[in-house]
Amino acid sequence: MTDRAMIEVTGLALRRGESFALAIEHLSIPAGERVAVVGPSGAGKTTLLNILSGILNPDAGHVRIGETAVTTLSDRQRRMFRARNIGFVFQDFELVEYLSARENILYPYRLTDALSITRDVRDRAEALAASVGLEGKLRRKPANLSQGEKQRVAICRALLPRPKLILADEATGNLDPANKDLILDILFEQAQAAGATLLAVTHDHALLPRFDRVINFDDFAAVPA
Amino acid sequence: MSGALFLAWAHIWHHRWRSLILVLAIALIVVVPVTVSRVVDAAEADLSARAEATPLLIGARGSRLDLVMSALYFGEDQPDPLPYQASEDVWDSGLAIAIPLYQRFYAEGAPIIGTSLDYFDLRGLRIADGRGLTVLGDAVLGAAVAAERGLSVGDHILSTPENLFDIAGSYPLRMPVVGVLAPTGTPDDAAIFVDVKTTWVMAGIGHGHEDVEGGASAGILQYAEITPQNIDSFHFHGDVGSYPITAIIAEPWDQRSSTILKGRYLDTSGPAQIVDPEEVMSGLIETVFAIKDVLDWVVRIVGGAAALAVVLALHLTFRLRAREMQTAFRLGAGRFATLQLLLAEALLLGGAAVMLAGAVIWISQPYLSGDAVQLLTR
Amino acid sequence: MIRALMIALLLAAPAMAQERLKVSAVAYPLAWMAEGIGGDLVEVTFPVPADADPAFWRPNIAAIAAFQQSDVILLNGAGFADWTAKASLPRRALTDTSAGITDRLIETEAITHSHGDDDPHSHAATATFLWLDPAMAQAQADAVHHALSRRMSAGQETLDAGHAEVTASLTALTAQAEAIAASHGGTRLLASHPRYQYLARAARLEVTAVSWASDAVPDADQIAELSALQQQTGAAIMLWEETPPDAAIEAVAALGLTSVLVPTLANRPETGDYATVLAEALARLSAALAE
Repeated sequence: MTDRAMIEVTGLALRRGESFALAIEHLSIPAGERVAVVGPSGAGKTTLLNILSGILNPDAGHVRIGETAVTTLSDRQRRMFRARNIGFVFQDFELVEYLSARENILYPYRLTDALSITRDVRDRAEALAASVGLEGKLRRKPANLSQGEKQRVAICRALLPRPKLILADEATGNLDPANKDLILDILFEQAQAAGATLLAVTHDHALLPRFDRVINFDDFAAVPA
Repeated sequence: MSGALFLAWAHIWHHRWRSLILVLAIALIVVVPVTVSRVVDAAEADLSARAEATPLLIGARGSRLDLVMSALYFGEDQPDPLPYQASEDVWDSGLAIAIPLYQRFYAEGAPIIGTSLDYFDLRGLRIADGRGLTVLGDAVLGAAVAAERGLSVGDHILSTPENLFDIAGSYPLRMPVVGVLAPTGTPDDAAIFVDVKTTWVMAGIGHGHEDVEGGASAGILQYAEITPQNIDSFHFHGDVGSYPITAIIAEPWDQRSSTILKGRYLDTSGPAQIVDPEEVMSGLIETVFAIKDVLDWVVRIVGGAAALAVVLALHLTFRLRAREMQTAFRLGAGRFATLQLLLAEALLLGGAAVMLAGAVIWISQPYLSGDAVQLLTR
Repeated sequence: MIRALMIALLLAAPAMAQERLKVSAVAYPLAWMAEGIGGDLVEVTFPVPADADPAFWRPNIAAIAAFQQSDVILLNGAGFADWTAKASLPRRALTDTSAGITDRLIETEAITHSHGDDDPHSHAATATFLWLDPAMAQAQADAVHHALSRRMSAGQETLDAGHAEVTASLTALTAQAEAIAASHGGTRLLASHPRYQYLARAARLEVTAVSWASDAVPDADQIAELSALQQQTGAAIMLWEETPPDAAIEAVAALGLTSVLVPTLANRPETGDYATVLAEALARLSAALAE
C-alpha cells in the first residue's frame, strides 16, 4: 500500500454538453494522506468526489482506488464497492430523521446486501460513538441532537464499514468555529485510527494548514462553457 | 428486504399518528363497500328466505307491501283488520291451512303476535324452555325478547295499553311467560306470541268478571289477568267470525288448491286480497338492488376519491423523502432499494389496513343479518 | 315396477298399522263415533274422568297438551266444553262436528249479566246435548267420518264400513224416536235437568225441566215448584239423567209422576255404549208413555 497510491486518476474527462465539466490529467494521493480540495463553486469538486466514489462514471480516463479499477466496474459492482470502501460525510449531515442516532450509524447496513449487521458491527458502532463523545445520546433522533452531534453521528456512519477512503463534502460548512475544529479533529483522528485516506472539499481556508496537502481546482484544466 | 421492512416500520412508527390516519382511511375504503354489499346481500337473503317460507298471505285490501311486512316482519304499519271468519273460510274451503295473525299490541316494546299453534309448525319454532301456548293468557317469548329483557319462564309481562284513558274496556293484560323459543335468526326472535284469543281479550272483545287488578283508586294503572280462578268467567261477545285479525297465512295443500284459492280473491271489490310474499318481496328486492346499484356507484366514486387522496398522501411523503433516497443511493443503496423501501411501507400500511378492515367486518358479522332487514323494513 | 310397489306397500302396511291416527273427543258420543268409524285405524282418547261432567270439565295443562298432540280433535260445538274456547288447540286438528248443522241448533233462554257500571248485556245460550237426537248425532257422525277420511292416506274402506255401522245404529235410534213421536207426539214431560231439548224435538215431546242435583233428595221448595209445573203441564213422567235416590222417586211418585231414567251420555256409561244405552232409554220412555 505504501508504495502504491491510494487514489490514482489518469486522463479523467467528464463532458457536460459540448464542453468539459471536469478534466484531470493526473492525480495521485497516497494512502493515509489527508487532502483538502479547494476551488471556486462549480469547479467540479463535488463531481470529483462523485467520480471517485463511483456515483458518476467519467466519459474518459481511469480511476483506481486501492486495488480496484473503479471505472471498469458495472453499476452494481460500483455500488457494492462504494458501500464497502467509501465513507461519505456531507455538509448537511444527511441523517435520517426517523431513526435514532444508533440506527443512523447503522443506516448503510440497512440499505445494501454488501453490508450485514453482526454483533461485532453493533459493538463497533457503540465504541465508535463513545469515541466521538456520543455516549448516552444514541437513542435520540436527529431533531434532538445539536449540529455538532449530528455531524459526529454522520462521521460514525461513514466510518463504521471501515472504508479505505473518506470523502467529506463541506463537512464543517454548517458548523460554528468551535465545532469546526472539533469535528475536523474527530475526522482526522478517526481517519487515522482507521488507516483511511481523507479527501475533504472545503471553502474554509483557515482550516487548510491542518491538511497534509491541498489540491486547488484552479490547477486543473477546467474548460469553461 | 428485511432492512427495507425495518426502515419502513421505523418511518411508520416515527409518524405513528399520520400512519394511523392512513391505515384508518384505507380500512374505511375497504370496509364501507364490503359492508354495504354485505348488508344488502344479508337483507336480500333474509327477505327472500322469509318470503319463500310463507306460502300465501291474505289480508285486507291495501298496500301489498304493508301486508307482507306486517305479517312477515311484524312491522309497525298494520293493514286494516280482517274478520276472523276469513280464516275460517279458508279452512272450510279445504284448500289450505289458515293461520290467523293479529298484531296490534305490544309488551316490553316487542310486538305481541296473536296466532294459532299452526304458526309454530309452519315456522318450525321450537320451545327451548317451558311449554307452548296452552290456555288463554299464556305468552311465549321469542329468544331475543327473553334474552334482551332478561325474561324467563315464570315471569309476567304486561301488554302496553293503547290508551291510558281507555275505560271502555281494554285494560292492559298481565300474562305469564310460559315458554321461550329457541333462537331462529328471524323476526320471530323479536316477537311475543300468544293465542289469537288472548289478543281479543286485550282488545276488550273477550273479558272476565271482577278481573281487573291493581286497586280501585283512580290513577293507579289497572290491568287484567287471566288466572285459574277467573278463567271460567272469561267469555267473548258476539260472533267469533267477526273478531279482528290482521292477516292470514295460507298454506295450500297443493299447487291446484293454491291456484283455486288465489282465484277466490281476484274480485277487486272484495274486502280481502291474497298475495304471494315471494312475488311482493322480489319487487322489494329489485328496489333494494336498484338502490344498491346507485349506492355502489357512490361508494365507488367516494372510494376512488379516497384512494386517490391516499395515493397523493403517500406520494407527498415519498417526495419529502427524496433527499433521504438520494443519500441512500450515495451510501451504496441499489437502484431498487428505494423502491423496496416504499413498497415495504405500502405493504405494512396496506396490510394493517386490510387486517383492521377484516377485523371490523368479522366483528360486525353477527349484527349484520339481523339488523340489515330492520334497516330496510323500518 | 308394480310388483315392487305392491311388495313395498305390503312391507309398509304393518308399520302404517302402528301409526294410528290420534283422535281426542270432548264428549263421549263423539268418541263412540270415532271408535265405530275408525276401528283399529284410530286411537281415541276421551280424557274426561268418569265422575266429571264433560260440559263443565276443565282440563289441566297436561291434559290440554295431550289434546294438542292429537291429529284430530272432535268438538261438539254449540258452546259445549267451554274450555276449548280458552285453550290453544291446533286449528288443523279441530273439527266442529256441528258446524254443518248450526241452523238446527236449539237456542235456550239468554243469560244476562253486566260488567261493573256497564249496561247489562246478554249471551244467547244454545242447548248442547245434540246427540240425544239421533238425527243430529248422524250429522255429527258424518262430520267425524269426513274428518277422519281427510287425514288418513289409506284405510278409506275401513272408515266407510265403520261409518255404515254407526249409521245403522243411529238409523235404528231415529226410528225409535220417530215411533215415540208418532204414538205420543205432543206429550208433556218433566225433567230433573234442562238437557233433553234435542231428544224432545226428535220425539216431538214437550219437556219442562227443573234443575236438581241428581243424587240429592229434593226439598219441600223443590217439590212445591215441581208440583206447580206438574199441574201446569199435566205431565205424568219425570226424566232423570241418573238413577235418583229412592226417596226422590217416591217424592215425585206422590205427585203422580213416573220416574224414567234417560242418561244424557255426555260421559262414558258404565255398561253398554251410546247406541245400546240410548236404545234402552228410548225403550223405557216408550213403555212409560204407553202406560
